[in-house]
Amino acid sequence: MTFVTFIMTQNRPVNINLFKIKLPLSAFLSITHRISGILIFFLVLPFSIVAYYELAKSQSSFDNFMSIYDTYLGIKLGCIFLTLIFQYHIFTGFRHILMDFHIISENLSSSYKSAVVTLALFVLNALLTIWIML
Amino acid sequence: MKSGKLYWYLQRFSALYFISFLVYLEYTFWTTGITFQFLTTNNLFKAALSIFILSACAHAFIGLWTVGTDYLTKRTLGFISTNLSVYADVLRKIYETVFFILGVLIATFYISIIWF
Repeated sequence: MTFVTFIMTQNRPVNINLFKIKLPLSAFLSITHRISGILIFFLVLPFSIVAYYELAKSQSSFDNFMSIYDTYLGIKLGCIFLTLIFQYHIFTGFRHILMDFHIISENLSSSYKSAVVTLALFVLNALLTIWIML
Repeated sequence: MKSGKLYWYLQRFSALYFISFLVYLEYTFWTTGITFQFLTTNNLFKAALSIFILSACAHAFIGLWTVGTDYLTKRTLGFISTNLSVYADVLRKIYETVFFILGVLIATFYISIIWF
């Protein structure tokens, strides 16, 4: 029996299935950083083109966009949501940069602490953003 | 410099540029306010936004390529289905083509709206 057939015939538990792993907080921040990055490219940037086009076309178009923003709650909430995705990527990304340049040392405890601090700062900033944009 | 190292630094330093650009935007928002005149006549803003969009696309190409080579592989797709994992390389190429075309479109639209 070769090694490969030995491995394949054993009914051993395989725990590298990504859907069965419980994520620590720092890993949660890392994967959501990636997801938010994908969302920015495929959602936030295309929508921001439309917004920027309307805002920069003419003065009346600018005023029209602003009145639509104030009238329809759905559009307002959509803009806030897209802004929050963007801010989330910036906040978690800044933590990654600090780790990349060894300003935050790469061990479990400082990784957990920086994750908590990043999330706390993001929530504060999100509340501020919602208060300003509403 | 090896190209991998160049991409790594490009992604990090573009990220630092995004943060400084946002600080500049935030400062303008609180001092003079974002008006139609500011968006269309302020050349510093228009240049900064153009650099922002171009480096955002470069940053996104590197990031999305990383995500693609991490998850659209035979091994990772094999978690979902072994039949699917056979097409991993093809799927990744399609994904890379799609985001490349979308990125070029985004940059083209933005630059033409900003300057023309």
